[in-house]
Amino acid sequence: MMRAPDFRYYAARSVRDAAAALEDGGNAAMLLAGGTDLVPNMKRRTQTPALVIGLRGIGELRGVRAGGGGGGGGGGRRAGGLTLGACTTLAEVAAAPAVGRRYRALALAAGQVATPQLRNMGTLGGNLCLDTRCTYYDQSEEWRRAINWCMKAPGSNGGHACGTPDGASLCWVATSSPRCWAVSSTDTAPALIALGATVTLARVAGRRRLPLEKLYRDDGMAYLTREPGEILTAVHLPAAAGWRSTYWKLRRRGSFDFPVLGVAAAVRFATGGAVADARVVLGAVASRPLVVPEAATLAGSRLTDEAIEPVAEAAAALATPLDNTDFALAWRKKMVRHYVAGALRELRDTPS
Amino acid sequence: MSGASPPSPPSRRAVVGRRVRKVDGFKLVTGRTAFTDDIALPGLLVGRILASPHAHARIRDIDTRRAKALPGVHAVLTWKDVPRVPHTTAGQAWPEPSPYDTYLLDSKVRFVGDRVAAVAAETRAVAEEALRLIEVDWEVLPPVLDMEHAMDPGTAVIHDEPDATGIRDAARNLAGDIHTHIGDVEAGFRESDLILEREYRTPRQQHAMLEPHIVICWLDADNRLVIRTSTQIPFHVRRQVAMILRIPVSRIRVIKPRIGGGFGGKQEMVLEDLCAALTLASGRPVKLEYSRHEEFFMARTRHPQILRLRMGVKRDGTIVAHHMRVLAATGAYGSHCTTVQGNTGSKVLPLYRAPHLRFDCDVVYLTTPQAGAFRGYGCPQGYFAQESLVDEIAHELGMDPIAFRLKNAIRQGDVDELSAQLGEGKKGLPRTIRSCGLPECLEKGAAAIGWKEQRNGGVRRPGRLLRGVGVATTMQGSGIAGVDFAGAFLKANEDGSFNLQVGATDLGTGSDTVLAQIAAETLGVSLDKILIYSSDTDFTPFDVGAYASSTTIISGGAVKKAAEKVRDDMCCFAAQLLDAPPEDLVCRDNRVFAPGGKSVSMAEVAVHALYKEKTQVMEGASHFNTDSPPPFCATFAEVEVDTETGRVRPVHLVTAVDLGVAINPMQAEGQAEGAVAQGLGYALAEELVLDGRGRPANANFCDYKIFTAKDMPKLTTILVETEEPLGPFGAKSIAEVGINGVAPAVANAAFDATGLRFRRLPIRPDAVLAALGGRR
Repeated sequence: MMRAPDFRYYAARSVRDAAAALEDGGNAAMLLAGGTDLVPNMKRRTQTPALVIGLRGIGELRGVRAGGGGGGGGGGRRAGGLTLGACTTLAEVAAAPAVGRRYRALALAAGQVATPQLRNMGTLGGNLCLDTRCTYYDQSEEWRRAINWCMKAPGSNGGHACGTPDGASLCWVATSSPRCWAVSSTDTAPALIALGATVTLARVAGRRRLPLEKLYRDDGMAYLTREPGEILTAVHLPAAAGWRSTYWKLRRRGSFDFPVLGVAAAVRFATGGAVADARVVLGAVASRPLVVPEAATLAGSRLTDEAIEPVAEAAAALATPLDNTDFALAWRKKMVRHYVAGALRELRDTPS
Repeated sequence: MSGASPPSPPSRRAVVGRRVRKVDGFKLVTGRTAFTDDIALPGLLVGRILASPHAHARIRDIDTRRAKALPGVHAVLTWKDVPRVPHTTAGQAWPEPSPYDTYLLDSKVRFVGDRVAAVAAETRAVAEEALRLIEVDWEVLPPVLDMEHAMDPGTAVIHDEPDATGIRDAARNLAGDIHTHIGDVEAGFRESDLILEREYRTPRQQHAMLEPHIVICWLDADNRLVIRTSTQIPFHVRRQVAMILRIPVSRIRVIKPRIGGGFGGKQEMVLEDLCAALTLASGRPVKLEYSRHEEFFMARTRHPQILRLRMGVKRDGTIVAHHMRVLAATGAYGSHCTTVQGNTGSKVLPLYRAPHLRFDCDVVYLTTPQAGAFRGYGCPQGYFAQESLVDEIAHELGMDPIAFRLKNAIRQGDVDELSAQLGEGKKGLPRTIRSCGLPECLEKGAAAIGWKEQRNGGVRRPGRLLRGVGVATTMQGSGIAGVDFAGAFLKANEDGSFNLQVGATDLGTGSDTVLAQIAAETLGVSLDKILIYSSDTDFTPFDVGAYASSTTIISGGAVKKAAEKVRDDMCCFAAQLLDAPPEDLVCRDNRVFAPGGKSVSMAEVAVHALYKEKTQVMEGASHFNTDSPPPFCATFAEVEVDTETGRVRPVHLVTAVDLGVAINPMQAEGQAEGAVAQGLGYALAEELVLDGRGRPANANFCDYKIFTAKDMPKLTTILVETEEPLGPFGAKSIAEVGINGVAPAVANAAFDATGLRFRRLPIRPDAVLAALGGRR
């Protein structure tokens, strides 16, 4: 059995308390909510915080409340919508009636993360901040030492195994690349982006709110725009009147597996049945969730196969799967088109 | 002595044939201490292995001074510190038919994960720190990763050491080869109306047993070496460790607690030698175990194979000739190399009674993880190929695949001569079929899957989701004829209970329960009166171990003989109490009955024997067979193929299996269902992937995809009971046969749904989609 290295654990009592500890801890500190991502990484030594700040005891971070949806652009305050505490478990999110009724994509995405046991521990905020994944990264320390590390996890004492090239500054997925190609593997982020979610980040100096989409960067290492000292505290969903949404997850098995493709689709229908607004977001085909801009072309259509096809095509063109997850990459790229088309057809064919 | 009771008819049996609960079930589900790791020893050290980062390299020099100097480190071993004794890790009866090409530690490494050094330290953290302090000067050699080029001139030689023995041709990386035939296949092909030749490929599958390999060693008060280990082969381990460490067998005691699964992966001495060496070097108890990660590539795998089959048939569907050529990779070492591959021929080809059979096989070394024994032992590979080809031929001839199989399949009274040529490492014994329920398996399985209604016919119909059904027929053995043997020992206690001591090893198969049932039935006592213990080389009789589907028939045979002797002894003492001739007495319901109905309890008989006659009733017996009766199986699959994604989803799996008499039908069904789960993984998902340098890419349960409960289709298991004369109470075996037909049944069902053949396992969606034409 692999075991985590020694670390100090601080059980924070409030967001303010946690933020202060995080600021004090600097680079050596990390946050722990459910622990289902961080703890395995600690065992593999890909993340080795000396200080772990536990958020589990902070009541204000848990639960689903009506209101607070607002709108990132400074619309009406507390105008409808839903606010989810970042430490609400994925099981709670999936089962919340308010989520299932109006934000189906989120319920589907949260309900398909990993396994029931992990969803009982894992949290919404944790899934949004999930470490990016890669064949060359999610390996034991011995394995990574044997390949002489990689740029995302360059090893504690640098590479010195002879006979192998220096990997500590390389991305083994694309060895000539200056960047890391680890894959964004969160299920809930594509769903929430499609639903127009915003998030609150808190630090000692104050809070800020930003569209969830802006939380991510297309970089396998610095994949979050979260700044040092910031804690993701809440997710806000705007009012959902007229919207229908869904989430399709591609993985090998019916349980356990991270997505090798996630497709979230949300469509608002105008009275009369034409599409007023549509969003499609892809997961697990890049280092960040990818918004498919061509979804906007669905506006005015009746979601016919003819209207859907170019959007599915564009989504497939946008996706950049690489050879660092399960399944052959060419096949994964092909699947983008089928899953996008399938998700949109489902929204057309399912009565609200 | 008495011949006592005549064989009881099945309906009268009180314990055999009943769905009794596992005798160890309660302790397992309540988490009692049962397993190797479940003891606490004062002063226990933790052992860790420094694994090779290179697929192929020589250790020019290795410096352990810094590691040895680390506080808390008690032993550091490299090849310089241990005896160099060529051996095989294969857990096989002596003399093992596998090459002696392995060393406790060597100055050369032959796969990523091979042993470089070992450390014993007070904590795991210290042990791992010590590993980091070992400095190795490597001479990296070219890896050999492609079995199709392993024998090419100029390829690096993996076993260039001079002292290995039993290797067929080390200079060509050829570990072993097999060439055998019956009749003349070329003449057979000339007589054939239709000849098909096809190639099939199978992957490296990992056992993925729940409990990884683990060993705890210590020196007892008499300075004897005690090895507590999770193994299928305690007696082979004792012999092997004695040889490797050059200590007498009498100085070693092997204890096998309850095992958390093996599937053949523990028919192998994997860690015992090194753990024992660390104990001898440190004088302290040492625990050595694989992490799950290590288990995937530092233990064993199934042999990957490339099979080329050529079959000739008459227009009426009679198979005339069949030539099977196999290229297999044994990985870095040759344990089980020719025996597994021998089985690919000997337990597969004779299923169909063709007059002309030929089997040619090369097993090559690669600088890859070591292959070994694995449930099915060469048959899953062979049957995937044979049953796919047979299906294709039936289709070409316009025959129903079931009718084609029934026309050609071996049947009761037949003698399989190929087995005589392919014994375990030597000439074997011909196999006579004394029981065969295959026709009934096919009939009942077909009804359960809805063969007539569900068949699509191998044509591509419109629509996104296509369904089809497929079938495969298979057989296996029940023990190795003339090789496997076992002892059993029974003694009576004064309360009418009996201690049953066996060397057999229950690795989750339920053999402790089955053997206790056989003893209880024979003695006429209830199951709770049998106290089974397995196994400890100091206290239980010899048993070759749990492999080759042998335990019920071989160990069970020994138990039955011993129990019959004890029953006769008890009748002799009961005769004194009942005033009746012993041969007229009948044992049942924990009592001994005289003809008039007068009876005494077993407890009374035992008390009388012990305290009055001053005799401990105790008997031992040994058992072996000169034949290996095959269980037969018909596996049916219904699958759904998604033409947009290429995914093949199993919908319904039916296993109809002739296992002889089921000693415990509930456990037998469990075995069949477990085999289907492992077989579906083999068919559709499982493969240990190596990168271009021979490193495992998916050595964890996240990325290595075994089927989960959510992925399992509807299962139907049908036990077709036949009476096998060589088995205890008519039993044959069930442990392995069920896995053989799953992959070909799925592939044949996929053909039925789409009209496309898939000849490479696992059947991957990208390959299916490409074959479907990758529409759009």
